[in-house]
Amino acid sequence: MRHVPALLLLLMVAYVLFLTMAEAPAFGVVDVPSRNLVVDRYLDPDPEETGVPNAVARIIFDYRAHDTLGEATVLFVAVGAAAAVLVGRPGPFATRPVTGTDDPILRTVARLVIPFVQVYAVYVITHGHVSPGGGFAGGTILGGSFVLYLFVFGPGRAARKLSPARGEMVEGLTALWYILVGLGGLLLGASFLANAAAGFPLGVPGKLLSGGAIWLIGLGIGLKVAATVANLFLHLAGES
Amino acid sequence: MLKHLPVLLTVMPLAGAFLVPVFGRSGRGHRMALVTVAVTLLAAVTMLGITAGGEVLRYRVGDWPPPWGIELRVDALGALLASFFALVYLAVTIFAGRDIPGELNPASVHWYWSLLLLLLAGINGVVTAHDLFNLFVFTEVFSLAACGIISIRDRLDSLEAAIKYLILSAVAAGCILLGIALVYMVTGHLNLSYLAAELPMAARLYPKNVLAMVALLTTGFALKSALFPLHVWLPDAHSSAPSPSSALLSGLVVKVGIVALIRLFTTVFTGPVIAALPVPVFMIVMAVGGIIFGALFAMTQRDLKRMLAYSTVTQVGYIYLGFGLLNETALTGALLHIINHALLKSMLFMCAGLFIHRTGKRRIADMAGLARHMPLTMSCFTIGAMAMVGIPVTNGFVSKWHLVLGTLHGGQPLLAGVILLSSLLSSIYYFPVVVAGWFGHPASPPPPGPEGPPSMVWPIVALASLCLILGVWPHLPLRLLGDVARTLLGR
Amino acid sequence: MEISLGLFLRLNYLVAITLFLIGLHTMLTHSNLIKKVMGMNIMETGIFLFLVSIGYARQSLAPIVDQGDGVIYANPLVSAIVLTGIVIAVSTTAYTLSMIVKLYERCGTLDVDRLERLRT
Repeated sequence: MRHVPALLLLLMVAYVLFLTMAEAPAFGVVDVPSRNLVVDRYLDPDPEETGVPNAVARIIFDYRAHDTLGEATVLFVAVGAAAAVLVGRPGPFATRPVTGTDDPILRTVARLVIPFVQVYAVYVITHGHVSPGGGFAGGTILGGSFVLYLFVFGPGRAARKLSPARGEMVEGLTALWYILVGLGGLLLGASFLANAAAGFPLGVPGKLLSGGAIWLIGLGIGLKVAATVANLFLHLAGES
Repeated sequence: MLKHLPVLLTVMPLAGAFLVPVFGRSGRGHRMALVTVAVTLLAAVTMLGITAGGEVLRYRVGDWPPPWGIELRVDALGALLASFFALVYLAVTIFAGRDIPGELNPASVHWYWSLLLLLLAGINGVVTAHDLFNLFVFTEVFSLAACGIISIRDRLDSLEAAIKYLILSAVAAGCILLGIALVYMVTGHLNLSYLAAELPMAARLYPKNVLAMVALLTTGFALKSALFPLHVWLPDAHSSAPSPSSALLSGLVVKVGIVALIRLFTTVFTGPVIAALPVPVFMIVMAVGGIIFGALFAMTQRDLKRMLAYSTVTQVGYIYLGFGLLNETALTGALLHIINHALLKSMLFMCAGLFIHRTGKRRIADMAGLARHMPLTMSCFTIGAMAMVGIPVTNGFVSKWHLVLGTLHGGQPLLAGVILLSSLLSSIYYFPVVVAGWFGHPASPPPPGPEGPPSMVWPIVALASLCLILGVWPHLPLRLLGDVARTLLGR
Repeated sequence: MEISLGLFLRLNYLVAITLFLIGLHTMLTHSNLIKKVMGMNIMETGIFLFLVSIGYARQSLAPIVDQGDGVIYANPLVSAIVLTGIVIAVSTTAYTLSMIVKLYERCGTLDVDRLERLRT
């Protein structure tokens, strides 16, 4: 009975949204309002403006890099707030803590797999501007290798590789790196987060070392996301 | 350097926040936060000096022209709000230096300073944004940081309140993001000016889409700014947070959602299409509900901070009322009330924080006779209470006066009656506290000693004197806000 | 009739909105905190699906713009928005979950109603 108001509200929302969808622009065609001059410039086949062929990387690290700064900040806020909350655990109802495993198969396989995962992560991070992927995806993979280490060898040994204090420091420094690259654009006489306009060398499009600030920011974001994932898991595993 | 101020307003607090976990672990965090907030205040005041004549600062992030890149805009309203917000922030940060280390686990104190600066960055990001998606991103920054400075207090009620706040805030974020998706689908733009230019066309082709978009965005931001009946998270969150956090949450954070809505309704949702929608009427009805019910709930509270939190629901109602009337006098009153309430409520929450810091008690009944031991604080609380009720020579009177005039200009004398009735109700819950504080007998006197550390008393006194100054000489902000209101309404 | 035909032609939008509503329903009516977080994620997934569908055109490719002439690419702006949105959703989820972990260790329950009763 107590759900009746919520259900009524939901039915109302559903009715409005379904009516809206029924008259929305058609699905799957090119001739829609959202394909306008904005998207055309983003999709310009000649990469002279930004120096990278990956249009998504162009947008998140160049045209709309300010949004991505906000996004990196949100990650930082989540880590900070979670770290602050998880101080003072465990309480009276704590379940069994995360420990490592003694299973030799798991330990051997993890030891074998982790270096490959990390190499792959570095590949995805450094090639984000020429292929799908990039700092966010690669950083998550790098962080994932740390999470695998944590579950197999236990949080204590994982914290010896990267202590929470050091993890937070990496977190802060990589976020700061983003701002420094942005300020670099400002000091070079253009605007905050400017790339080609500030004279960052764009290199040869399609090559590894190209894209100027896009490449630099992508590198920082990769490390930052990895530190975020590692930090969150360390804190949740009760290591502070 | 001056032309980069709009972006630096957001970037400076961000840089400070990122530096705190690196260098601020050994007690330096507070000083770092103070310096950052002071510099931000300086930047905001400089921009106020530039924009006061009606100039609008435009900034292209990354040197990309508007429909492709992100544009920031600071007009007189943005600069004025940023200045006052940073001023309140400075007072609260000074106050928090002595209050926070005692309330938190020592291992998490440095995160408090970091989160405080992130909250400031989020607020400034929203105030300067001229791009719908950028607005959303910074809304999320300040929402998460606002939860963070509640849940950092190692108590069960803070934790529960923060979870409730965060979940409702996620619902709001979902509404806003879906609204952005809908508006992008039919216009193809995210920059507010370009959206405004495309919207009339889109509204003719896809009327229901525009309607749903307006409804979703309004609901989302109203939920973030605690418009009745979406205020359910506010009393718990604002009363269980550490006192400096309460001051910031009640004083600034709820206002940011309103500022975002004012921006949207004056730049994007204009013209005949939106005039046909009953959104202003809806807002006025909800505002009246908030004014009346907030006051009624505040009357029944025994906890001082809870009472102040319900009073915020009422004051948010006032601001929405002035906004919904959409005439020049009422909008001036609403904008002035945003500033006045930011000063007042932060000051009142800091008074409450000092009471709690000194005596360890937080019930209203325990405040009897406190004037004997804490005369300065009690005087400031009295000024705050008078301003909340709307007694002349305080700043609260000026903004309420304009709101009442605005209701009469709008031909709604009934709403003027609502404001007067609510003033009566606020006097019913504020004045017993004041009378008991000055003339009551304390049940158990607090430990002897000075009133409190100077760094906690003087911020309160400074804000209280500012309230009086703005009450006696309101001309400067009034003239500025009058111009702003005319510009916003396009007259 | 017209409405159902319109919806059928926009099946992606229909499914995305349905996901949004399922998530919203879960968030509003379930008292278990973990379910609320799951609802939050389903809701956001619905929105992301909707955004990605806006940017899709038939036979469009991923927007790496070095694949020759005459090729249609998916709208990269919505992909960028979704990327940002996902990161924000992940951050919110991680933070909420850490609060829930602590809450559970303090009170031994995840149920909002039972928490309310514990308090009084």
